Amino acid sequence: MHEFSIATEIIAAVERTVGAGARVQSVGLILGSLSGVNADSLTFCFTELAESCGMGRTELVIDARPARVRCRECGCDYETGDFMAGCPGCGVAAVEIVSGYECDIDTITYEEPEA
Amino acid sequence: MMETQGTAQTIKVKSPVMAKNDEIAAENRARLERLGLVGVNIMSSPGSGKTTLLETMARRYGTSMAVIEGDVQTSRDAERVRSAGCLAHQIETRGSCHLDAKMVSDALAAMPINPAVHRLLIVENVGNLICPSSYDLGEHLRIGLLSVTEGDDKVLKYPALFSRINVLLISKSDLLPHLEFDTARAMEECRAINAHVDAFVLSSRTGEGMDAFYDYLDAAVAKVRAGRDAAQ
Repeated sequence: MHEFSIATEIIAAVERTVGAGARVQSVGLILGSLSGVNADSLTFCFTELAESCGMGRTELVIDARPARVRCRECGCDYETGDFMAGCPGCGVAAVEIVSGYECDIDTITYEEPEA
Repeated sequence: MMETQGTAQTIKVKSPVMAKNDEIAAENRARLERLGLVGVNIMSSPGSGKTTLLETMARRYGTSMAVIEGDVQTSRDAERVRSAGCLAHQIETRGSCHLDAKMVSDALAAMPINPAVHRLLIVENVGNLICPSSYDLGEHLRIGLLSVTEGDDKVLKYPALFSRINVLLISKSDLLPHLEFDTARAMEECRAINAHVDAFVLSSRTGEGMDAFYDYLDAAVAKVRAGRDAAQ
């Protein structure tokens, strides 16, 4: 359960980017299936933390991405949640993971703090 | 890129959440390389035998091995490793399920590392197969330890960890005759998602398989030392 730590990192990164005190409407996050982060737990932690940090009622919009792999036998690219299911092209279960580890802040929608 | 909606604006960031952690991790790695040390991050379930492995390694590496112990609570593991003759620093995370690069950076600053003596910095991560895999600590080698008592099906249950390790250690091999653990299956499943993983089957208790693992670590140390010497 490291979602609280991840939520803290997101808040810190948002504050570094838009400045502390800005009202943040939403944060778009790309989350891969191999990130090791649970989307529901993260959303819960983030929402609570954002409000307590003065960002307001900030929505965390998660763009969940499956793992993308490349077959080491035939080079076929495919999405999978079951690594031993085998390649749809040749049936071999031996892959190079191309993506799926992402935990990236994609967008921030915010209002500048009033002068 | 910026988009305005009323008084609000949307900016495209595209930045890893772990950017700050990764920055500190890179500093840790550079610091270890300047000192001529190989950083090793050992991750596993609780009770898989990480500390026992370190006690066995201490008999081979003696004072040349320094250890950072990560635990939620108590300094028992650091005391065990210290008793085995190594410099050891305990991080008590007080509830946190993983170590991060800042914790390791602070530990390194507090440890009297001597480049003339130390060759290996082993970080024993908090026992957990999920959270530690998200954090680069500045290590050179990521080791996943899987004990035979845990079952041979664990690799694909925790792909985030086992797909990104450099070394798979299948430990407690002395217990294999009493269990139905299929080492070939565990290795095959790890290699299916991690083409470059090196795998060793070993027992900290009997010493079986340890020599091949030591050769691997010695080669890693030689590589980092050669890099440091070339840079000087």
